[in-house]
Amino acid sequence: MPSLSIRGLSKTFGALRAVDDFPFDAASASIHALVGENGAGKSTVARCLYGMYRPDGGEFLLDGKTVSIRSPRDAMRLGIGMVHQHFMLVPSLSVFENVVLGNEPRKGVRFARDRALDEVRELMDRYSMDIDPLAPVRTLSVGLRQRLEILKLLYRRATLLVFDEPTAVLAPEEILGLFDIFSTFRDEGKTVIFIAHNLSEVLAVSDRITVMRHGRHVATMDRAGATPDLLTRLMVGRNVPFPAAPGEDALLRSSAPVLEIRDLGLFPSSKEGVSFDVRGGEILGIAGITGNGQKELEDLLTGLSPVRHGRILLSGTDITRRPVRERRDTGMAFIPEDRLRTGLAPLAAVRDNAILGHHRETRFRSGPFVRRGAVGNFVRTLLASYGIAAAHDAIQAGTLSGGNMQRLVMARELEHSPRFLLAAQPTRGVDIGGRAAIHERLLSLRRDGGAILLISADLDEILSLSDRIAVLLGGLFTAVLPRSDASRDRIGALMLASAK
Amino acid sequence: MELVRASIRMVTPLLFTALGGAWTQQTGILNIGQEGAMLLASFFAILGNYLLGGWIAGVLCAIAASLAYNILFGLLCVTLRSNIWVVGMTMNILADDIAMILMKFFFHTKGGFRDPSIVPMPDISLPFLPEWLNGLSVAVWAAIVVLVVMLRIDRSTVFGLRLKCAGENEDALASAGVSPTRMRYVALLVNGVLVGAAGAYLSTSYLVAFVVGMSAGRGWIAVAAVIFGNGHLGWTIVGVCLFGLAQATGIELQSHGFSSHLALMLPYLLVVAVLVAKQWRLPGRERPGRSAPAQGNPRHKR
Repeated sequence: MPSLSIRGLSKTFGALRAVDDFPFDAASASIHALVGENGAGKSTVARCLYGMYRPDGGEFLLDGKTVSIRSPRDAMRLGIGMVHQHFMLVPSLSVFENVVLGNEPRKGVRFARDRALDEVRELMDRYSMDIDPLAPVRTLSVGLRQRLEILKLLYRRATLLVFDEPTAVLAPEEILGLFDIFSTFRDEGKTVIFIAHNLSEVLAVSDRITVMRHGRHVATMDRAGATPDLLTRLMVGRNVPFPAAPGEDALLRSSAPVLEIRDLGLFPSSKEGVSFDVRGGEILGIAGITGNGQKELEDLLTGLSPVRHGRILLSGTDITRRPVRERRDTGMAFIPEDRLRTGLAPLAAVRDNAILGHHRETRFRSGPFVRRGAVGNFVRTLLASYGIAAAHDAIQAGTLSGGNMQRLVMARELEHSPRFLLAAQPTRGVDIGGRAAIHERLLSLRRDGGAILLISADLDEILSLSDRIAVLLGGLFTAVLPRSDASRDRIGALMLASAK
Repeated sequence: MELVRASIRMVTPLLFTALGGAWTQQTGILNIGQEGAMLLASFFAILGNYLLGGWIAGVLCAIAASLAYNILFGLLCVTLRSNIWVVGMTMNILADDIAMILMKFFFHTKGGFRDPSIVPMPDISLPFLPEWLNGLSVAVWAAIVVLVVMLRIDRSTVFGLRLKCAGENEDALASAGVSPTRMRYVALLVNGVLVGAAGAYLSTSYLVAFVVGMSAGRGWIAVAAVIFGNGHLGWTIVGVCLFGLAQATGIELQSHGFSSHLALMLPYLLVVAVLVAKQWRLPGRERPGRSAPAQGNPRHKR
């Protein structure tokens, strides 16, 4: 059974040294976690190992023998398998076709469908996975799709399994199921490499832990020697205060609702809708597995898609059929889930992005012309006060790092003291340091009496920031709980509706 | 009956072209260079036929020309990942001009070329066939054979499975150890052979002459049928038949004294109507089933 050693792995993208002289050793029959912040180079290591990137230097040893991996096919032949962050599935094909893709059983040139189906069924029985092999993949939930990815590796007889951030898309209950599978693999003598940035998960399942920072190896330790504090310090390189949970005292329970939603149908086919209020000085967190109506809610509230039934009131004004511009004028601000598509114009200058949506204000224009001086001053102040690292305000917004882009969106949306803020996945792809700063801004808006709707796939974020938590499932709320009644387990169960 | 026979003759070149196009579409490449490939093939069929003697030589020359054309398209759009529309448009215009220049060079004419020494493709007449199926070109039968073979390959081979994966999720295919680039080239080569046959049919069977612009939008109609079918062979064939029937009807109407300009518009009007109707029936965002593969270029690979 395979033990893996990596010696001096390096990979550069242009001027960026993504991985720099990186060593790694994973024993056979073990679960080895690779942790680090976003952009630390974890995924790059995995992709080099799986033959998707050609490393600039370094070597791989399996059981002490140097191996050459030039393509995924080489990696597969050596028994290396990988579950990618973004699933590698073909949605219109059925489950069993996806499993055998690339190693299809044949009869002459013909695809031996029946044999493939039998083999897949047998494999599912062995690992007691219950998926309909004939179902088209597009009908599967994200959790099942991940099982299917694992099944693909088993079909190819992989013995060294690499998982790139597998828990990001799963509900807590499904994560436990995944960890059971990890343990089964370890007991069978397989090697599991688990890339993650959620430390509680890493500590729950790993035997050994390696920390990366800025493409370099920082430390490798046994599970026994690791604590969350220690790992955080190693990942970030400094101490990071965990966001202070909002105190009950700050909550203005008497405050009038700022946003009122009445029977809003999220999906075009929805018969029923959701109803809720968000009061001033309150953060309402929306939890749920991705794809249960979060994106639809976001688009309906901001006016990017038309409301089919239900009503939206902002500060008492009915904005159900009002265009985006009027909604913003009524005091709505919006941090979209996808900052490159909806949040920013990546090819336009940082300066232009910073006033986007506010460009009609008379302080920024005279007649049809932009007041360059006034805009310049405004943007410089904004960049400084939000700590946005941009070389100057004329560079393209798309060239900023993820964290800086997100700060730019935050800065633009918060600078005008909105009455209501919709924050969708505000810290996705942002590192631990940037995350703390964004959370602090959200809490400060709440202290100032702003109403905030926080949609996030990160349950820890929801639990630490929200005053109340609503759980979305299939376009409806399964529950709305005050934070004091919410726990990770309870929310997790509600996300899957396996408890009432 | 005459209308059916006319339709069959109309459908044949469309069928060759659209079937090849459907496969490239499956791999995520909408081949919009078909019009140029067809025209070039028509010219080379005449050239080969005239210089080497015999229709087979003509067909082979036509196929060689359209293969070269599609390989260039592949180099630019698949390997170098240029924009399909820019390359496709340019190559269509290029093909037009190459045909014109070569005609000047070889035949010292412009506009058109015909010669009694050009051997037309044979027509097939067999005693056991009903009368209305007799006397159709060998290319018609070849198209039917190609159709059946491609349907088989599409449905029941590993190759057919992988073609669709290349268009729908190329990363899934690549991570399974199969090169999507290779699938795209294979589809483009098959497309090249077929569009070559279509061009040869036009100039050495449908007409026995080369006329400037003789592909007359047939390549584009095939592209429309491919878009209509979105990589699905069955629907592509339905599209082809619709358009072929419309063309034949247009010509038929002409002989009944309709204004020829109006009558010849028929297939093109139908193309517009059908494509609009299709979009209307399936609003893009909520379309069930397979996601549209080719909206332009294959994604950049880092």
